[in-house]
Amino acid sequence: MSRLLRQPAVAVGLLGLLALLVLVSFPGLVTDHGPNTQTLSQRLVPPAWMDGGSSEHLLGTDHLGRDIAARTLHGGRVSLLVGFVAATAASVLGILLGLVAGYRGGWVDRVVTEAANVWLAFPFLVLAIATVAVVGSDLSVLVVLLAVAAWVTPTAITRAATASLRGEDYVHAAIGMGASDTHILRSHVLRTVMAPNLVVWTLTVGTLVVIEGALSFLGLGVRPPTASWGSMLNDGRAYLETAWWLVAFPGAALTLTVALTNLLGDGLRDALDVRTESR
Amino acid sequence: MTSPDPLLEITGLRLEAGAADAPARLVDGVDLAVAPGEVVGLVGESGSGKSLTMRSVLGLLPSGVRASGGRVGWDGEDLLAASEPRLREVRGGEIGMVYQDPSQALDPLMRVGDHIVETLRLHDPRLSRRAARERAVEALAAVGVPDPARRSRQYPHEFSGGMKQRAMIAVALANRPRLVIADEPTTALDVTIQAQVLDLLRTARDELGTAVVLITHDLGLVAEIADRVAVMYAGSVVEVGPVGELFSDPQHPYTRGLLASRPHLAARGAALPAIAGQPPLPTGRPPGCAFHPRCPLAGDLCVTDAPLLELRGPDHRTACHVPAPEGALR
Amino acid sequence: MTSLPDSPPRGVDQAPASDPVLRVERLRKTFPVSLGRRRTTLHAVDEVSFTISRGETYALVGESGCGKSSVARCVTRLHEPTDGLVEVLGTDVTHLSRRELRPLRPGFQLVFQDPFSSLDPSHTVAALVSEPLRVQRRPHDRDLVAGLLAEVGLGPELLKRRPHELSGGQRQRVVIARSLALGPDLLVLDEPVAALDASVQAQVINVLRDLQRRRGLAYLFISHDLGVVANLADRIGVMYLGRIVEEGTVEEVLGAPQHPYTQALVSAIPVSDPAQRDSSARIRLQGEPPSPIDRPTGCSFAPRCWLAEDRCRTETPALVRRAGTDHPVACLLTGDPVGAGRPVAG
Repeated sequence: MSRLLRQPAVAVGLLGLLALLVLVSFPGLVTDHGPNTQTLSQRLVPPAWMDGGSSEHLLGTDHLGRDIAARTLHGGRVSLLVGFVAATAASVLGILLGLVAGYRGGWVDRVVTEAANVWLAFPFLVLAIATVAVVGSDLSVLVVLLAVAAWVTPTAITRAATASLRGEDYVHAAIGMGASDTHILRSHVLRTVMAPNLVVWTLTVGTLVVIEGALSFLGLGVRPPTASWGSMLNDGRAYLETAWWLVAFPGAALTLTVALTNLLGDGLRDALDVRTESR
Repeated sequence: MTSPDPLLEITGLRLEAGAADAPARLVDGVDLAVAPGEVVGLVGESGSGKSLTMRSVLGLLPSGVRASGGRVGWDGEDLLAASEPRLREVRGGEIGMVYQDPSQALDPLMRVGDHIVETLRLHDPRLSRRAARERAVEALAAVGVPDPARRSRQYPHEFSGGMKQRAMIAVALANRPRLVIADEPTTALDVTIQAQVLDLLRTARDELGTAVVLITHDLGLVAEIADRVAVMYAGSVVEVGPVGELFSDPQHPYTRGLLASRPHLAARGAALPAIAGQPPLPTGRPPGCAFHPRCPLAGDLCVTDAPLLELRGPDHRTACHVPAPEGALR
Repeated sequence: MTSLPDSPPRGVDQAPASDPVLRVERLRKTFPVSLGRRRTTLHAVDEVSFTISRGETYALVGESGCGKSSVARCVTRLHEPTDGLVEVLGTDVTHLSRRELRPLRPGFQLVFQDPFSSLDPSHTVAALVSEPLRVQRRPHDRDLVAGLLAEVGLGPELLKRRPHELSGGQRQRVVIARSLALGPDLLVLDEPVAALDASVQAQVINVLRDLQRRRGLAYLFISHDLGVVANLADRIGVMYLGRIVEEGTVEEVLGAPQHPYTQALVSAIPVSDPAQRDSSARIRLQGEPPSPIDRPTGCSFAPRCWLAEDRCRTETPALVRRAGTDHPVACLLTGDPVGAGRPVAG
């Protein structure tokens, strides 16, 4: 772990994400306003440092007089929660499918591989629209949709790594000791496939935060008045020319999150790939 | 055996890797001379620096490894200082190369004959494609590939392991080089095929006068084919001499240990006199004589001072502080 | 030799006297292969029979592709034999499932050629050596593991190391120590020293010999190196294209090889002394072994054999003792079978 933190990209990415998590978990540190409190007398107030700004609303207010800072942080909660939970679910699903497909081979492998191919060819947005049309939009629906959106990559890398490990002499050696498949998967395969999956998971979080933003922007995500970065962008779209802060701050938060996860993911990739190198 | 004008003369070659302030000395002051038409066996374990030494001759050092001293004399010229265009002339032209694994050294997407055509035309751009094709077929025939006209149009995967190695030797010999460097050319092959490949190298020497440097870990191959032998250990040549003398009267304790520990038909069921310990890593070579931690004869001087190659007989040199009495310890 | 019809090669036919640790009978292993559109069969192992007694080393020698490693994998049941019998310590394991094999596994263990790939790089030496004990849910502690390492000449300071911190010779000793953990009676050694450096090879050979004497282990030793085999083995089976073509004690097979292929193999061993270099006296085999997919009819070796006659290309020779030999040879030209086609093993 300490070896990982010595990688600057890992350290910066990890600390940045932690800071972001603390902020969205405790929005009270920055603002006392609730995310959905409307003060119609104070609509479209610019950020504090601008003419007409007020120290009451650090990042200004929106067209309904809601505090942008509070909405960005509370919206971040939704965006990050959805991103983390969905990415984790996708990884767990992907690792399980990849292990079974890669280790068992045969028809299981063919089914999983074909499913992945079909999935990659299928337009995700159409599925998202159709799902929302049928079951309505809801936080849990969003998480499931995003998890499903991201299952292919962890499945593919787990499957490939497992299939190549299957031919390793040390796996044959374990069979020769009388080891069960569970033992082999747990003590020889899982350890090895965890590293690339950690990298993929980190990068997936960033991707899913963006997809969540896109879905909410299209009105397929969380329902108003609940804030998420995507829905804030959607709300602010109409005021882009007169009140840029409505979209600038959620947009910046989204960009920062993706930049940090990518930084962390790339750093981890560099740090973990050296497993067989001597120190 | 050493003629007054060696074809290849490596002197004081040093190869390093890693940080400039604390480099790993992969090859540490190697001297080696090869006379025209001579077969020299370069023997050592993995990590002894034998392959690196010969790769430096062709300017083919792996990335991260650099020459920090010495000279690779080739017909009066220093190849360490040669330009890349000049090295390209030498490679495959004046010096041919045979690698351990022919399936990796041959391009799988290229017909076997085209490998030879390519090397011929690289070194003689005026040669027509048609003439080069004819010579490729001749070259394959010369290394005993049956039905060479047809086989030259096949791809490497259609060749068996032994046939691929023959084809590689044909590529190496295509431009009638003055020296062939063969890096473990038989290690990937079966014993019955191994003998065929050795015959080819021997024929090249006898008929074309090609000198051969045979890089190998196998003393048996050296006994079969070499005129002179250089034994490398931990980046240095520890003993060099005519093959007969080196086998009958080895001077360095490492050479003696290697010869004695070979399992052979006569030593049935007896414990082999093994050399103790493990060969050192290039990063952790002991001071003084690198062999001293494993040497049964090591004294105080061996721990502190690295021995130099000294004459022990006509053309027989060894780098050892301990003087070995004639025929002792064998 | 015909005067001694009742003294078969040592350990081969003395069935009641010695309980064999391993009995292999008429083992066959085929693999389906598809060459382009054509689906056909690769005969990796064909009618191979031999037995190994306690404390004995039986070596299978031959070139790559002759099927010797497939035999090792059938015996250790990493492959399921297509046909025939594999009996370990009196139990027929030929077609047992992995679950059924588990309680029997401690009796026979496999050592692979390449100590770089047979050790999981992410584990410590302590974890690697104790793995069989954990797999078999047996008690294990540091002392036990250190004791196993000591048996192969390694110190306890290596316990915390990982494979990439060890030399090739140390790794192969770790592999051997691990194979001893369950107290096996039979070790199947697949080219255990082929990947090692010259100065380390002899150390590992010595370790194997000491262990055998101390523990009374039986070895099935797979190798292409006749020098190593001569040093370690009691009996030898020479394989060519899936079949054993000659079998006997080391003295019989290497001292007086009868089958032309064995003669060529012995002759191809590089000389140990340059003074004996005399290439004219050597047998130089032409060509290479045919593919086990398209095996020639008759004797598989006939296409490369300098003695082959017409009948060699039609008639498949059985591995039996023949007039003029003291051990079984599968060659029509060596002589007629004696003892009415006695099966080689069993």
